[in-house]
Amino acid sequence: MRTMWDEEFEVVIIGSGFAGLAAAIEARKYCDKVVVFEKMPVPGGNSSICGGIFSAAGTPLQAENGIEDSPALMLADMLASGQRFNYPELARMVAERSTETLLWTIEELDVKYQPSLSWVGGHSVPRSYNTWNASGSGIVKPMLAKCRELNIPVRLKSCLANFVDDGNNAIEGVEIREEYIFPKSESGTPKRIRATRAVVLASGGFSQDKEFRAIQNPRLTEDIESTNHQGATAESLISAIRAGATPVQLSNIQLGPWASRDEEGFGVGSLFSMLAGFPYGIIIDVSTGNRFVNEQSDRKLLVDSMLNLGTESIAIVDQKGVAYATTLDQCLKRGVVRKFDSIEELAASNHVPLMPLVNTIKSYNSSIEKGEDRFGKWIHKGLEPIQYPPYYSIRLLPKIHHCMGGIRINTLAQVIGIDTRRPIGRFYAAGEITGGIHGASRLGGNAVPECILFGRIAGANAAREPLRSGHPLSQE
Amino acid sequence: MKGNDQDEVKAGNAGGNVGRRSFLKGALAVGAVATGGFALNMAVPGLAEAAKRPLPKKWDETIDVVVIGSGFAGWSAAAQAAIGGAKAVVIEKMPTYGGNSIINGGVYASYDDKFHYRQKMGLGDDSPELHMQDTLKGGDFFSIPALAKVLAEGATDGLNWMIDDGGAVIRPTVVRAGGHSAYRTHAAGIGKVYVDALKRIAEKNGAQIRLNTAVTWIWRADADPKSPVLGVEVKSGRKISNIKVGKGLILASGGFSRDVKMRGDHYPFLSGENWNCTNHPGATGEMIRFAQSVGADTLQMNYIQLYPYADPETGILDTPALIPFNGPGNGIVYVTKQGKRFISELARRDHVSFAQIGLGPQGKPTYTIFGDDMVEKMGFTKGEIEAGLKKGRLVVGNTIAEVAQKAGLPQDALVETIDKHNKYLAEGKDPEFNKPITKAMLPMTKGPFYAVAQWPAIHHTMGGLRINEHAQVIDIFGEVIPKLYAAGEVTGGVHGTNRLGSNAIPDCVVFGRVAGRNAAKG
Amino acid sequence: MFVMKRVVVIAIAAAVLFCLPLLTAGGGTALAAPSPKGSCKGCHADFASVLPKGHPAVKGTGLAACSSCHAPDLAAKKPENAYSVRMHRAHIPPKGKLECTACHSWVPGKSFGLIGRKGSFGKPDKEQMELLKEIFASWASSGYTDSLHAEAGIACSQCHGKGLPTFDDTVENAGCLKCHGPMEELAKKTEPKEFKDRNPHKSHLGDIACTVCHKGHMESKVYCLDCHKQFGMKIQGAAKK
Ligand SMILES: Cc1cc2nc3c(=O)[nH]c(=O)nc-3n(C[C@H](O)[C@H](O)[C@H](O)COP(=O)(O)OP(=O)(O)OC[C@H]3O[C@@H](n4cnc5c(N)ncnc54)[C@H](O)[C@@H]3O)c2cc1C
Ligand SMILES: Cc1cc2nc3c(=O)[nH]c(=O)nc-3n(C[C@H](O)[C@H](O)[C@H](O)COP(=O)(O)OP(=O)(O)OC[C@H]3O[C@@H](n4cnc5c(N)ncnc54)[C@H](O)[C@@H]3O)c2cc1C
Repeated sequence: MRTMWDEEFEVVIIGSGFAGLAAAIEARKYCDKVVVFEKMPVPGGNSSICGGIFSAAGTPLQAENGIEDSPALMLADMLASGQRFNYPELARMVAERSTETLLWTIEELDVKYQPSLSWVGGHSVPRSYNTWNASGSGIVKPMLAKCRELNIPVRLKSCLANFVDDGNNAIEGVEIREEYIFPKSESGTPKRIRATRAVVLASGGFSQDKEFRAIQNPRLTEDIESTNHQGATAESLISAIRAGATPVQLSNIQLGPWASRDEEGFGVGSLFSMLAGFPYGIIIDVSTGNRFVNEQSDRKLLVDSMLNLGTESIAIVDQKGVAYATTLDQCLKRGVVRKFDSIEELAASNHVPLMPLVNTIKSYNSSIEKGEDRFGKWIHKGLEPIQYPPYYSIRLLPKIHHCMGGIRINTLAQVIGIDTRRPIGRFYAAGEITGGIHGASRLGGNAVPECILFGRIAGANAAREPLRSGHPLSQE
Repeated sequence: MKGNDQDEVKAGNAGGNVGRRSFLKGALAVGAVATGGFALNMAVPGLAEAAKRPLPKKWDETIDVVVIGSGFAGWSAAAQAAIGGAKAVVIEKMPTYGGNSIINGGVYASYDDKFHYRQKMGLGDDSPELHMQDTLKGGDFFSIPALAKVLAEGATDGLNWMIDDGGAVIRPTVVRAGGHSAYRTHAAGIGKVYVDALKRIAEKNGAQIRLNTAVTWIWRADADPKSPVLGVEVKSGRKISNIKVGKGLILASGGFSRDVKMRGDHYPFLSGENWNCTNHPGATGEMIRFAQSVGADTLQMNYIQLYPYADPETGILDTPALIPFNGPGNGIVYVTKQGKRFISELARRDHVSFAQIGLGPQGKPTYTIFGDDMVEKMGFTKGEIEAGLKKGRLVVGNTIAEVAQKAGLPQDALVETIDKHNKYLAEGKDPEFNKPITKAMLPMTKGPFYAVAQWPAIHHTMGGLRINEHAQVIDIFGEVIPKLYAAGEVTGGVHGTNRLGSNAIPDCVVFGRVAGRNAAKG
Repeated sequence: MFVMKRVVVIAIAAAVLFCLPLLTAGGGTALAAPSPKGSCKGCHADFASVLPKGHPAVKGTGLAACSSCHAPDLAAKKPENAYSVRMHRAHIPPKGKLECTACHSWVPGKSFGLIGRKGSFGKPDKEQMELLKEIFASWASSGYTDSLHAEAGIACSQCHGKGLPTFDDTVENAGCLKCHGPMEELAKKTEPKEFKDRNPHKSHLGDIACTVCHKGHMESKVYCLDCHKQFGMKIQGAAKK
């Protein structure tokens, strides 16, 4: 007879991004044998390439800068941009525990943040921290170091192929393909790994899964670029659904309006637009030279208006506004952002009709003076007219960025079964693989707190499941 | 052997599951040995009920084509299956047939009809292509284009079939409704006209119906792509029996607007009991969940439509509640309690609904104002208007001021609004809301005029089972589930984020027919 | 509970079949103990007093004596109704306390007849017998449509068209309309003065079954009200007695 299980751990975690690593670190507090499986040859998934923006309400930096904020306000922002698709109970947790989560990264992981706050679209106030290196790796690396310290193996090139249940509505383990070579589905050797306490699925979104995302939203054809790492594909989501998990809101797929036409993926331009171009500059329809939207809208509104426009658009910012950019040097070096001494030059180079552009800037500047903008951009005291050369422009191209949909969890990060509508036993999920926290549109910098918070919850709860007994490793 | 027996039993079960799962074609199919011999309903872990329910030992009967649901989709499917030579039985859980279909407003979008009313009335051009484009656009391009195409191309044939073979009588007009860019919406007064026509065709060809019979499970041996659906478990009164499906199982069980829990699962905003709903009480989603449990994929379950013009009190979509929907192309005007317009009357349902919700609870209700000369052009009879007046759903006045006064609207404001709107019609331009003005829109200059109150109620679930152009249900790996078909509101991906009004009947009829035809082939 | 009782009954029956213990009781009133099988005298010592006025003299006192005239046509499965109704209502709860097998012979799954007579009404198994008991009890006293019919002297067969109703037997509209019809007449009776289209017998749902609203053995409910909550229609047999 064959051996049922090849290996056994207490908590088995799939995915080595924010959610998976946070789960591992937290789980280790309550039990000894924790493992993380990662299908890619490198750890970190989207988390390590992300912009490192961390939004939180009621933070020390806000206090320092006299910014009044509250979890209630953050929640209201989330629900508004989410068009009320958000599960309020989950969204509320993100808002209420965002600062606690931020402080955890500082205190437990020693993550370093930049000393100023960013104001990201859709948020009512500046509430976004930035990691010291403007990248999620500023958090992932300390997490990986922590895992080493805690003796948590992070096994790379190990792909989840299937869940294994115990015949009693609970997950008992997983089937992993070891020495897996992405994206070859048949590569590697299958191994059965038992989880004597629970399994945590933290395998991220599916923005790079061309087939799967087009099924959810036919407009997302394969030629549309994505900001995500290559491994952001849907097979683990499909396995989870197979295992009875409830898929929710899968068609809520976010495009990033701030990405650049002149580089691949997220690059360095996205952060430029997000932190400087949109909040302190304007977005222009290249064909008319006109503004068409509040640049500080949430991503969905921005992308929808850009797509409805059907023409190209650029963001413009001047010398004052560019001060808020964290990636300017790289942008200029890579030709993603271009610098001009005058609006005339900027217009000519971007093929924007000059006079309308000049008028647009004039009327924008006067609305700053008046304190009222016809597109509803909130005019605050940090906002200055666009008039100080040099001027900078970036050519925009919406790219597929985030999957708000995924599998349904409850406040304990338990996976909810499709038919029973109750938690599936010993099955947890956290991070972008889960659905419904952000609704129709995720606000910038909200993924990091969400992934870490629910990762920690999942890890802690998984590790506190009662131990399954028996030694089924060697079976006749 | 180490360890206690119990654990080994568990491990054995788990192993069985791995084996069976692993021969599924998935993104990551593994070559592990399949351990057959378990006739479980579903080869997945996690599904307690599925895993615990062995296939029935014996079948109580076998039926060629079992159709679940007796609405447009179900009867169309049954009719077509029967015509195709199959024994077809419609299973309906409610004590009456017709579901949402029989209480439906009877408006049917089709680029043409056998009488060519649009052409006769000089109401411009239309084509299946344009109908499809409107459908895609109206759903923010979330519709699967191949499915929208089937709908648009089959609509006219479906309509004429019901007229010719089923004796349906449609009214001699076509209207232009919100989100449609052509005059293509046909009226029959009430959906029952079509349901009865379809029922007639179906029964004439030998199809039967069983009322008070609920489907309580779908049987399938496992989720292997080659594994067909085997049958259904049905419950009638206290009796539970199992029907084996000979040729095909067609799910035509409608939407889940009345399923409060499921609504909350997918669109938390619309959860809870406080929303009004236009649907019949049986519009619950268990069939979708059963289908998911045997491997079916779903699409876009979170798109749930509000009907902007339901009776504000009850949420019922009665005849008066249809006027605001049918009338935009004839010049009706929507106003707030303050007597002001708030949106283009030709806007899509979701836009109108959210514009209303945006007014806040104190903005409830809004009103539609229309003139007597529009009534028949909108597809209504004088009798229907009289009945509406009697019920108190409509108010009438010889002048706009009188209507305002009776409806409790500020008179001056309403008079001003209508005057302005009349002017826009004359000038061919609506500077306020950019409504495209057409010649068929009549100014309100001569009374009597009417007002009807309106407010959003939950109406339609755009999401549902994923199907292909042949109405076959697709599993979550993208494979067809043998012998399983679906049509009508139970399916997803035809209407995207927002269904255009009058697109549901053609959707149901066209895909119902496709499903029936294909199922009969076996 | 039920099972125990039956064991007792059968035990007694076996011992006292056709031997008449000296029990006395007033005609037609509730009795202290179940009567022995097939015998009336066991309870009704003064058997003549139970008979209606003007009833011809009866030879013998057993069930067989009654059924020699009140002959239920077992072959046609149509028992003599008025008699059947009266007998059942008098003897089963709440008025009486008799078990079915006090008068009926029953071999589960094989036959069900009258003690002392050949032939069978059907072949109820244990489960069906449970159901029959339940339904008879409802029919005798529930306040639902069934008991309204019972009060009018109508037995199962008059609606169901056969001696022994089975699971999920329903009554077709034609059955109801035999007495209550035609539908147009009914519709006229229930047409509201003001809103003529709010007529339950002329529903926009088409030709619907009477039983959609008028439930036989459970509370009747105006189906219209499921959606049209404000209609406020009333229906007979809506509440349990
Ligand atoms: C370019 C970019 C910039 C972003 N910037 C920000 C930002 O500044 N602020 C913010 O809040 N959010 C940002 N986001 C979003 C945020 O980074 C992600 O939502 C978040 O990193 C998701 O974390 P996760 O742990 O859920 O998944 P991931 O970090 O994606 O990790 C999941 C891991 O699971 C692995 N995996 C998947 N399937 C399997 C399998 N079958 N077997 C084994 N392993 C598997 C993947 O390879 C991956 O490594 C950004 C995203 C991108 C792409
Ligand atoms: C008030 C109203 C007015 C409308 N007006 C229009 C209009 O004018 N034009 C238009 O295009 N669309 C309209 N719609 C939408 C349209 O009517 C519906 O989308 C359409 O009727 C759906 O048809 P169907 O056949 O898919 O489902 P339904 O007609 O709802 O039929 C499904 C049937 O399946 C049964 N069922 C469900 N589950 C089970 C089960 N487990 N076992 C057995 N039976 C089951 C249900 O009881 C139901 O009878 C309207 C909808 C409503 C509610």
